[in-house]
Amino acid sequence: MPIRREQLRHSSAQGRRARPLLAWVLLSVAGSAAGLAPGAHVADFTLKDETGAAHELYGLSAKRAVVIMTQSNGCPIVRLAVPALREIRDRYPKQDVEFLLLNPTLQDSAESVAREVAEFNFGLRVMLDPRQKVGEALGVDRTAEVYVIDPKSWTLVYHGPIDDRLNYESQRPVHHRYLSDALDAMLAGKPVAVASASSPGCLINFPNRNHG
Amino acid sequence: MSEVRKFGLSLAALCCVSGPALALNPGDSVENFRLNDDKGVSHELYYLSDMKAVVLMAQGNGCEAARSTAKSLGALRQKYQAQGVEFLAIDSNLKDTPETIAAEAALTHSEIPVLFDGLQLIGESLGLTRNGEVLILNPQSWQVIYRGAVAAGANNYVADALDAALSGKKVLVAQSDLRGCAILMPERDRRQAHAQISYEKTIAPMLSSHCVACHREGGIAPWQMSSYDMVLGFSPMIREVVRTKRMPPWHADPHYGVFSNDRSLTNEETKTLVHWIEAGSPRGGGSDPLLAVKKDWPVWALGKPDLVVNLPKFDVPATGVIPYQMWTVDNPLDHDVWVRAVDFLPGSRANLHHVIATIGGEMAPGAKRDSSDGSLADYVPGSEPLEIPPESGILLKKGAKFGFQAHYTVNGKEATDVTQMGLYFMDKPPQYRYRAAIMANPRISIPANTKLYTNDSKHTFDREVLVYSLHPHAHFRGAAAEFIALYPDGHEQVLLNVPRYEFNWQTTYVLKTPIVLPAGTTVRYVMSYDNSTQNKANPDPNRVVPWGQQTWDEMLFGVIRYRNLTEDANPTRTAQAQ
Repeated sequence: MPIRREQLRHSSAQGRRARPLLAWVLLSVAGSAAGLAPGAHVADFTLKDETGAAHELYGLSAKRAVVIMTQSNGCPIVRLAVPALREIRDRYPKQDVEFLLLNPTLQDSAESVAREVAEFNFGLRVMLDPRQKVGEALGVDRTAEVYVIDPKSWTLVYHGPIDDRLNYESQRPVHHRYLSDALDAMLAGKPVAVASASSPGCLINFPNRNHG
Repeated sequence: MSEVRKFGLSLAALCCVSGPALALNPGDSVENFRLNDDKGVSHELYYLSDMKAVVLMAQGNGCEAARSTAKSLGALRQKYQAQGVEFLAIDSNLKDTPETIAAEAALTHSEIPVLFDGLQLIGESLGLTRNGEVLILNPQSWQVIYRGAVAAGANNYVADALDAALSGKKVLVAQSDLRGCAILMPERDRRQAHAQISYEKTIAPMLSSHCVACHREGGIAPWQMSSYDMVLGFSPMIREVVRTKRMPPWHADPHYGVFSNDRSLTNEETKTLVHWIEAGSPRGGGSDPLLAVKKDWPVWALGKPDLVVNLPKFDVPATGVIPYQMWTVDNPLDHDVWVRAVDFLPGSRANLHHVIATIGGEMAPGAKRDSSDGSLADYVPGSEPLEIPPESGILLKKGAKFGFQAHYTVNGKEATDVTQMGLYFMDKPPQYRYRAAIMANPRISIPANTKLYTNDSKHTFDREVLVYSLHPHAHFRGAAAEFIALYPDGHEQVLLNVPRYEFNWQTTYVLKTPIVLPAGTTVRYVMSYDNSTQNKANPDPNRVVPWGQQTWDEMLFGVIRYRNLTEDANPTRTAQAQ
């Protein structure tokens, strides 16, 4: 009843403003996925994109930053995040920052990803990781997770969402521009202030990790 | 990967063959969930991300260990609540019900909300085995920082752990032994059987009947349940949206009322689906029924309408938040008609989120109304056409105007929508008039940075009526809704409880058995709002929010569809209530 609800909610602990979560959502039932922590080393990999072109991570050593965002076909958070990622890409010199998407799912193929790219006008290449090895190495949990990698040391400097705009079935004005802030700091030779943040997106099935 | 996790993985592999389920150890993370408490209030674990710590206790009625733990936690709550610690209990015992849980709370004078986990899915994943056990969670990481007894002898485990957590120190004793009443969890020992759940015979038919209407080619859902591979890929996501009650999109508390348009899975279906996913979503043998899902959905489910009304063309952008569209469209007919059914044909199913159609336009409170103005019908994805109960109809007068409120969602690409409304007419005037009682409160003023603001609107029926459906409406800050009947004899009945109001789903709750309310019955419609930063849809928690038609303002607006039990001889002449 309404009165009970009022009493109950008023009696619950009064919260303060939310702080960014530095958390991973982990499968508790059958083992846990440990996300790669900022500062961790990122191993080299080579993956083909939806057009068949190969991308080697360590081949990007001339760049000053590499940005990789996870993607799966049909995930609304990705579809709504890509335009924001494209806008950020257009703000940085092409020779300085590389922007790529990574699809580490079992269900999507080069053909279906190419259809998604065309239908939603991604304007970004999608590396396919059908054996999920890169996804597992990066500790990918969800789509729309952004990894910012420093090619000088091949370490992870930021891991989280583009910003705090999107949530499930909702959007709100941006308060924290995590990705832009991280890139600005890197290009200015400064440390990244917020190196990770909680990231809404579609959980990606890693059967070998979850049920190994 | 930590040693604990490696150990966990090997245990996980073992568990599916024999043995008990994996325990959730200190250092492991707890996944999000949403449960109602015994008072019908919805709680989402991750909503508490602004807390310093969350204390979660396994509750069981009549268990002495649980009673003494609850008493100790009650005292700790007095001290720690003001410091940002939330205390919750969870009852995962098959024998307990919301009623007996409430009775137990009254008996023990416990004020800690008790989440009702009748399906045991959350208790299973928390590794609960004994009532009286306490888990302390760190809301920054959702890791377990302590689990075990509240205290033992001189050891005040929970108090010590909270002191450590609040001062940013490491919890010294992260686990303790516990004597409590065992929780019977039959499914926990049936993991092997869960691996035998048939995709072909059980899972795919369940998805076909509950999900595919939207999760299909051309449906509003972003991805299609078009094959086993798609379901496998999205399995962890399906499990999450079921555990957090985001999908299927049905928000009524099953404890009150039975509704004919209930979109939820049954308890058994929910358990079966989650257990199948936890078993690794095994394909098993047989065909893939999702490959054979029909591709050609009927244009008009009820056949060709008597009148098709085109809504204005709307260009949907690729991204952003789109204001509600308010349109007025002329009725082209030159004579009065009675409407028996209404259906909608969305132009862009992937973008059209809902339409609320009226005769006479938006129902601003206090505005002068024509007696024949009123609600017409609503469109939400996956909904059936409105078929007005026999012997009843809606009068559409010549010269009337249709009012439409349309809400579009973005999905990453531009689109153009022209939605059509189909009307079906009666051959002759009906015996009863299908009516709408509008309940609105334009005096709402929601304080800034407030997690709970509640207000209401009342409507008294001066005649005996038969109620068909209930419709709550609010915007981004809407949090919960309730319709309560106060009968002339003084007793109350909850007609509908929506513990988690979700503005994205403008559902009309259609009573399976229409309910008679005697003359003099007052219905109170209560709406709660969350204007805090914890509400992820809130565009601006720092604003005091007034009444307004647009989503950044708020509404307290409810609709009750009904008819008079006995109608005047000529319903046309009867003044419309409200």
